[in-house]
Amino acid sequence: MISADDSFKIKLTKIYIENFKSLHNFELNLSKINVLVGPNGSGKTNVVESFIFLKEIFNYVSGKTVNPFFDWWGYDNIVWNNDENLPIKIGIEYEVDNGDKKEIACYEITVTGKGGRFQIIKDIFKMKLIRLESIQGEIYVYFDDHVIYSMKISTLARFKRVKNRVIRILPKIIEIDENVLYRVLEEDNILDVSPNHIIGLLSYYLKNIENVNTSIDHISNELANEIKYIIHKKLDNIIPANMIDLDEDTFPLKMRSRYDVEIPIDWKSFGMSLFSFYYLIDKMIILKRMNLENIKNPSRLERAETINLDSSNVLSVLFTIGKGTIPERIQNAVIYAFKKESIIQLVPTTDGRIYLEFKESISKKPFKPPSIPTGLFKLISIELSLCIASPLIIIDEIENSLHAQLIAYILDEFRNSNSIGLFTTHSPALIDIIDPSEIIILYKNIEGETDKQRYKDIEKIKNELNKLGITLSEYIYTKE
Amino acid sequence: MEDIKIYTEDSYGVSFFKIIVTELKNDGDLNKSKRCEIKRIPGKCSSKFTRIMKLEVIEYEKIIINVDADGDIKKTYEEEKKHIPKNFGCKVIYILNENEIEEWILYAKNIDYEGKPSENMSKVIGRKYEKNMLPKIIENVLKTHNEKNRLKTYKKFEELLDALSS
Repeated sequence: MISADDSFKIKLTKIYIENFKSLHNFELNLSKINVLVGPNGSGKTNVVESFIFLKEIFNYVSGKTVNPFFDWWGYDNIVWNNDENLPIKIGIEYEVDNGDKKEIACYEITVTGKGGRFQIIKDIFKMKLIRLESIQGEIYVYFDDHVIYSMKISTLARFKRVKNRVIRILPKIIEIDENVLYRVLEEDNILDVSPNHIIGLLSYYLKNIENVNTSIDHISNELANEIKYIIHKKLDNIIPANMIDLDEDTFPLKMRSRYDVEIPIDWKSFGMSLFSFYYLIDKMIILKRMNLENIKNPSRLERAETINLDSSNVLSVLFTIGKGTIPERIQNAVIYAFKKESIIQLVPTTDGRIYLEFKESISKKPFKPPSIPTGLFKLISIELSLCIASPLIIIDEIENSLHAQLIAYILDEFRNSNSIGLFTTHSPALIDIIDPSEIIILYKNIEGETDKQRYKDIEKIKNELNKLGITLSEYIYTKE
Repeated sequence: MEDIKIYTEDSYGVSFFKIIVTELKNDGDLNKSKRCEIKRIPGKCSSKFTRIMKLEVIEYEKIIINVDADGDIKKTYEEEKKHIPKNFGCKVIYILNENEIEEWILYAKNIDYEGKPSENMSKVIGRKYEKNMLPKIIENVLKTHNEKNRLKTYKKFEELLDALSS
């Protein structure tokens, strides 16, 4: 379990997408609440799916899936114009606030699935002064736009194959302590500092320590120290400068560290920003394929810290997060939605599963899942996402199954949380209770690409609405 | 009997005032048969609010508006007043929180503070404060004799009681 200080905040500020479905060249700046509106087919769901695709890519690098475009039945179904020759690029920009200072970082990945084979063409992690980059099998670390570390992944693979030979030969050549060398070679995986590899390793590492309490600070520092060590020390210690250009057959390493001076990087911020990207993607919750009737079914009693894409594990997450009880935030929301005496609780079955029970008051007979209002399960799922403190919560057609007053309550909950909300809607009831600055109108342009419009002069719009005596939804739908 | 509608800044305010009104009725400070509905304002500076007001005048004799002034009572009053149609047929009373609704709690608990009231609420509950806790907190204040009595001397509370009972 990773614990974060209250001061730790990640804010996604921008996403840019190329060649994903109708998002040919699309960029979106995000604020606290973001509501996508537009006709059917304008691309609202494609924006949501671009995040699903990004999450699936990271499920791929973490070894959780073998094909990120599987759910769309093939790469040609998600690439712009069905043109398999085009790569898909997704980039995000985010701000990390660790209480002391704020840093802007950026991650960008370019992938292809040509011929049904998924491949990462390029990925970049970038922040002030430092950039990690992998481009078709080559890894680079830049400091202030100068390469300070580079290696070929193919070299690394060959390096692994001949590792035993190296261990045997290298100490004799450069008179190095065999134990030191062995340790380095054992850790050769980490020599691959491409961002996607680091994400994969983090996922593996965190999965193995999920029962250990650790802090974001600790992980960030470890991560930064390891990369700092690779860049500053490891290669310099192992491979003296005069050995670098040795024949590859004799010495199959082609790695170099070109800086032999201390690089003035704020390593703490670097580690925090890099880890924050992992955290952002890992904790991001997308409620799109929700089958609320399925959530009603008893769920296996298993540990789960985040909600699946299909929301099938909501009860397991509820059990994990609340440690068997209902978190206060969720109970408060239920009271707001129904009445003061309302209670929900998780009930175990004899075969080791759990289901949700709802009572209108202590004295009343509980409702069993099939009789519980569907909207309650949706409310619980959204409130649970806020309990997890997910930095980004994406909800497709947020209004479904929810009364207008509950939508307003959920909006208030988002405004008073650290989570960013990205919603799609067709509901005038939602549009009319948000600020015009939170609206993003999507439409297809003449080329069939999704384009967007955001109101710039908010005060002018508000004055116009008040003067005309019409609501924001009436204004939008009339001008559509 | 005069029917009253209270409009509050957000959903938490709805629960907050529901609890207070129920308590006032239980204490006999307010006639139990008095109809008092509480709703969230549908968006700040929204023309929808103005339109709703036109409907409310049919059903209610008095409208109470409670919003946060965030330190500028005069400006907030002017802004809210814009939404009330001219020649509006019922009485409108503005109860504007100096900053935020949490100031009611801090007053009742006799806590000195600087800055935004909500940022000082962790002093009250001894852990991280979230807005959704507000109903429970006001409920506890009303259960505590001293705090309840002190709350009743808060000028905004007095304004509310006056608006509800006059």
